[in-house]
Amino acid sequence: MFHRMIALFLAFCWPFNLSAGPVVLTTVDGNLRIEGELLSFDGEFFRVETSFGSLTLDGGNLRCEGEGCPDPDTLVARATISGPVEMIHRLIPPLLEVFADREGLKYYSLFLSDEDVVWELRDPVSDQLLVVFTGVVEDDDAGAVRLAAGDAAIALGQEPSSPPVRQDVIALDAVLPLVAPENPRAMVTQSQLSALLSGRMDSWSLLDGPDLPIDIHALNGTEPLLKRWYASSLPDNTMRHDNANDLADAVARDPAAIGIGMYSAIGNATPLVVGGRCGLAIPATRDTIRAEDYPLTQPLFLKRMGARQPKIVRDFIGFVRSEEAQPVIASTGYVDQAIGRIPFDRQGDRIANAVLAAGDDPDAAGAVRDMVATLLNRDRLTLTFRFEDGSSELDAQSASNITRLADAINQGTFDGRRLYFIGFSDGVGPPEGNQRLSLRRSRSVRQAVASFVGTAPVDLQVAAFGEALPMACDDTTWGRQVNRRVEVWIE
Amino acid sequence: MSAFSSLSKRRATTFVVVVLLAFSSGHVMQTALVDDQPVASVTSGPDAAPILRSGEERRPLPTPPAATLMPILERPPILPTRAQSSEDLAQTAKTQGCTPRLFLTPAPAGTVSLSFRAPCDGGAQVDIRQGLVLASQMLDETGRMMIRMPALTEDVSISVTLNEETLSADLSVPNALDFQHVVLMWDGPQHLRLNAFEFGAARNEIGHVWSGAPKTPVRASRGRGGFLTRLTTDTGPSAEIYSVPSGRALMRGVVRLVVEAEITQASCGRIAYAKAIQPTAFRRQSETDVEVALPDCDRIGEVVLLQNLLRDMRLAGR
Repeated sequence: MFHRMIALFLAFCWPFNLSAGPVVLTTVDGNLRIEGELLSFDGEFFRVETSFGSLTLDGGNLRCEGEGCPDPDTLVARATISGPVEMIHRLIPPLLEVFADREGLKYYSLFLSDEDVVWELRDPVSDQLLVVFTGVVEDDDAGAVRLAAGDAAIALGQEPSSPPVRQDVIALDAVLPLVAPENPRAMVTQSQLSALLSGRMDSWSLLDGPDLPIDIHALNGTEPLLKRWYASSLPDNTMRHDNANDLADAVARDPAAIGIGMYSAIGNATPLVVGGRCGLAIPATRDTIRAEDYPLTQPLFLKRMGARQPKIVRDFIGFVRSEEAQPVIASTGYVDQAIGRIPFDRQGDRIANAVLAAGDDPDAAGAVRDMVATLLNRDRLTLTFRFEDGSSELDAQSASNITRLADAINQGTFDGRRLYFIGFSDGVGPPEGNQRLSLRRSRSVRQAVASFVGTAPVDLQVAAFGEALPMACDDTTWGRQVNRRVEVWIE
Repeated sequence: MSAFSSLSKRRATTFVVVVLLAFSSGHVMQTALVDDQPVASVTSGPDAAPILRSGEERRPLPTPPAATLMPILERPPILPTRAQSSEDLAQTAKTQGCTPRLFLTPAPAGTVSLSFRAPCDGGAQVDIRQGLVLASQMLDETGRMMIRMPALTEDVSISVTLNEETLSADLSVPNALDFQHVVLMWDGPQHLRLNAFEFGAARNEIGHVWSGAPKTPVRASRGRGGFLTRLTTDTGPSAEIYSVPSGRALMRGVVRLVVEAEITQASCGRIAYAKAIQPTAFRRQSETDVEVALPDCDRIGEVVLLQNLLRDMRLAGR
């Protein structure tokens, strides 16, 4: 009992620093009594300077007496959450509401302006205020400044950060081309899209459409991404928007428009499927975004500093990352990260493509046969690992998938099962080299996952099939990026 | 003997069940429930049969579809216990004549027609409550009020308060869940407006639903979009409710919801207080309190837009 309650910590950054004063802490059963100067109390732990040195004690079982004791009314945890408008107003409220339900707390939300909102969680019986979250709408840069200054406990956004900021991917989004519902075009190739966005293709008539000049809409902040994937620079008359909803509205009203918007804000516009010249195309859907088979996914980060947060704030962050929160995230229009399964028989297109791609080459046909024999009767998990351009480093979404998969394994989700890490490559270069490369990638992913897995009874296997199962055409960077991957399959 | 009595009890139970079934098919329920008396009684003994209460009190009634039967349509009049002298009788008649009455009947698109009558309170203000929604209306000179409001749940309970006296009525609205609702409520002389921009509509286009173009429940029942119910008075609680088909709309797409606060002589430089109720995941209703600081009085006549108070609604389409 004693050792469970007392933990010795040094030099923590405490959120509630109180003026020092003498206190007597007594366990509820009266067995333990500690006198000292109260250094801090975070709503959970007391930190007391005693004749034994500085002690940290779990407040759950303690009674505090003396003038230094914290006033329970002042022990309200406070946390500011900075983020873009849609994350603050659309994503966070339902998450907090379901979190409150789960904790048995009362949820109260107060709208002050389009930029400011306050959420309170209270004890349902005593009505005592336990935590106040303040939501502030601002862009990634302002959020980063606020976080660094300690004025925000949490910053949300699309921009990854670097240490000492800690980040988690809490939801996914994707960048995708949108047109008006009246636009008959359903699909474009990568190169057509590049031509459209760079202004080289300036009339829909060049795509068998009406003779309408093309209006280009773009989202401020996505330019680097557009440059990387589509076009070196956008034409001067590009219409720019600050907000993805505004872009979708503008595109939906203009039959001559093409805009690069967000999956979470398709609104009343229609997404355009981007394919390759070889005929393979991957539409942006919940499954393809979760699996990152759709290449332009946009992870949404929850960023925080290493400083110790009040327990309820930590619990909320833990909840947002949990499997329990995934349906809530999905309901907000963003893409969640729940680990789904795609049965083999729903992947007929991919297999047919593989067979066609193998052609008459006996080696390639043999590789496809081996692959089908391995995958048959197994399911693919939606979680996939992909690598930064031309490197063996996992991208942000995949890096987050390492811990996500390890967490699921540690929780017993796959107990007694066999998981296969199956590497694939693009089709550039000799097949033997691609085979070796894909096997190396699958091994490194397995190792990374295994390093987080405890003693769970799960068998982690590796396999690799090189270029045997392309998902996209290899004629573009984007296609090759999609093809270089490690999939996870389960028996 | 004991076998016989248990048999007769069972038979009596059967009778009661038969009678209740007859009632629930909708022919006599209204009268029976309005009268504060047992519907049927059973005497013990072998020949026990249900005895209906005196038949002459029954009025022929329009028969609603069985599924939308409405129990308890009006409050039983409070009769004085001593009504002997002629003076007392006259007083009784007067009391009865002034007694407020509340009727609920089902109406299209999951709405309820509410009819209220308080003959002695023409021009008075009444408060109307359904669940969390509180609004008010003025009675006309003859003390009547006829409104239509969406049923927010399948089992609707609506109460009307006049002079601190409250009448309640219940109604079952089986198709209530086919519609989802967003509610904006406020109190006193504020000028708030809920605007729905359906499927990409711009201001003043067909799909712009607001108090100036509230549209009809019929439109919603045909799956073409939503409609707005506005229940306001200048001094009492006010509410605007936007209702839209939840699952079977012909149109699919996103409805954007924008709240407008008008800056008036009464509201400028003050805080606009309101409450919003909107659906969230898993069909729950989520409440948000609103405290928006309005600009100073040099901007009277302008309108403050609140774009993010209400989340967009996504209609899945058929």
